Amino acid sequence: MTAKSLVVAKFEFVKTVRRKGFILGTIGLPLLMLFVIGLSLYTGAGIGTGATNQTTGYVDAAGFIQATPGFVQYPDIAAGKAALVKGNIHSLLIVPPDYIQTGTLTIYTMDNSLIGSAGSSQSVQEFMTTNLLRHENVSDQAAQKILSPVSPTVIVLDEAGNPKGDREILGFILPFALTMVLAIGILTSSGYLMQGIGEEKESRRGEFLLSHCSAEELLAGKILGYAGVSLLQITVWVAIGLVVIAASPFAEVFSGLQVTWLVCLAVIYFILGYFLFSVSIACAASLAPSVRESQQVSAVFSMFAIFPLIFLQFLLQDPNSLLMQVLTYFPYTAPFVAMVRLTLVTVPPYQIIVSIAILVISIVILTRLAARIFRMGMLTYGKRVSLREVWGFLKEK
Amino acid sequence: MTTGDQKNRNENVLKIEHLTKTFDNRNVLEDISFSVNKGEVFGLLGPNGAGKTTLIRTILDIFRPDAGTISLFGRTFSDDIKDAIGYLPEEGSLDKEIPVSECIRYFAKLKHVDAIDRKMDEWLERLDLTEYRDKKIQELSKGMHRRLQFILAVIHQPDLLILDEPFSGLDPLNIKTLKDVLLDLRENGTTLIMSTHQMDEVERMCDRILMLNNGKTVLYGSLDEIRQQFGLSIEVRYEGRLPHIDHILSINDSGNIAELIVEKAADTQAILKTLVASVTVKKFEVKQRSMNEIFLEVGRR
Repeated sequence: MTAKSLVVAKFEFVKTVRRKGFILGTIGLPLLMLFVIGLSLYTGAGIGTGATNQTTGYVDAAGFIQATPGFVQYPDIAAGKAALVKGNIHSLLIVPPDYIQTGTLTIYTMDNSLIGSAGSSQSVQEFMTTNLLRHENVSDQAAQKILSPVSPTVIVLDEAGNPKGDREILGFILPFALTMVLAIGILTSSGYLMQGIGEEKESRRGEFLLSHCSAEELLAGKILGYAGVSLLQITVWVAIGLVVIAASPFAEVFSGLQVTWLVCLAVIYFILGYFLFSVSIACAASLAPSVRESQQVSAVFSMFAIFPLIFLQFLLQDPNSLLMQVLTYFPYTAPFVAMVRLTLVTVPPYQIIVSIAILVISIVILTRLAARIFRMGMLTYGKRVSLREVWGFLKEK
Repeated sequence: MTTGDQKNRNENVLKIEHLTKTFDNRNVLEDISFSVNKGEVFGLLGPNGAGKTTLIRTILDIFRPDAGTISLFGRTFSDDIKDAIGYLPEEGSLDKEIPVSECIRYFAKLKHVDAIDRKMDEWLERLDLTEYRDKKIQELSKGMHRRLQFILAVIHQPDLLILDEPFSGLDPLNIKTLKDVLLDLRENGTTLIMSTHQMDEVERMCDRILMLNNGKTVLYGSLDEIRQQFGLSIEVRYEGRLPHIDHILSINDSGNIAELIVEKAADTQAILKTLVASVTVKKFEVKQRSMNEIFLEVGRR
């Protein structure tokens, strides 16, 4: 890393973080998500139901329904419909005389969103089940158990058979979370990297820049600068997340968290994975003829980034399968697959050592090749670069 | 010119020997050899696709030669040599979203310039851009943008300045400003390599030239030497019918005005005598051939 690389890195960092799009994405997006979550919790808690009547009316032609809070009985359908139209109730349940034999109900509602779901809603199901059980002379206590038979306490044991504490479990959750953060970091920084290099290529600025510093310095500076951008964005997101957690009932679980070897491995994979993807993306961007096409190329790398999510089912079913072992060694999938495997099962240490070694060697080789591709690609204007030309770039001294 | 100046002039800033550069098994540059002396203005000429830009990129170490050697300031290329070179490319726009001052600071830092702000203010004033110092580049006109690019190429006081079509897109006023600055730089010891198609500027500014065609050297030397290689041009105004004249390379006859291109060894007095014997000669003017004529002739070969 030379002084010129640091100058490039600082310039790219400052330029990007000042963009409105970055500020909006970094601060605006999590705040918007918090707002949406808050709104749904607020609505879900029923605090905001003042404007909407949640009471259900019913007409009991079968003659076995007993008075239940939240449900109002009407003598006939006409009276129930009138109450519905007035807004006194939000839906009307008609229990026909042959309900016990047929199980068929009719529900009237004026709310389009309830079509198809009103009959299967939890409150209606509970209401009918409770009344059926009462009809069969089942006690309310037994009825409650039938309605909610399982209230589990899950105890996770370690390899010695001792129960694990919350913090230790958190040690497994964190690497998984870091894997997701890596994927998000790569996706966001690849966007910035693509845009930055694409714009420079389109404006034919590359030649001028290469007269000021070498391709290696320029490439390293750009990767470092956009790594900083991505890191800042993730830090802000994590900070907002931590503030929310601190204000939540889970704060106690997170206090005094110990850094485990798994978290250390996650950080190592994060850094190596980030550099591998950045170098590859920078190469791809320098070869694409326009910003638009470079974004299409970045989709290929995004696929690798979300690879564990696509194959999550197989990964969870058998984390030590041959396929997953191979993917642990393949540089582009290693950071994600290795980390998810580590959170699920015991992975032989040699596999992790080999995986990290392959990643480091790949980065060293790729960086050398990338500088050549980047140098020549930045000077190829307005046309698609063929594989033959890329081969020619690689042969450049 | 003092003895010291003469000594400087003979000192090679750039020396290229047998340079060959190949792309896709095609020689884009083939066995190119030339040198540029300290303090001179060196013209790099040639039609489009001749290999000028590839040559410049190879000098700047953006491309590496497949054969041959390049020596800059008596040494092979290194990072500190890169900092001694300024380059103004023909194409390319700067980042439009950043202010002018920030752009200058960025490129100046890449060249390890000290006292950036002072030098920036001097250059902005000299090129009449002071009021745009804190404005975004997108607010600059094309001419202003070009002048800003020029500042970026010279703010580190380069010993060698390479200019690719420096006057393209500039109005006459801007051309004059830029030329004055270039001549000042030359006076202060900066060596200039200028790639251009504007032959009048070549004639006015360049000491020596290299002309490429299809990647090969077709002309190399001082302007006088090259003009002598291409013979003389004689403008004749006459009445009558032109006779056969020896040692004529070509005639462009418009009826009563003709331009005769004659061999370099031709005896112009003998030609005049031949003409006087056959036609009424009203004007007979012997001129050296213009670089534009030479450029066109060589380009057609």
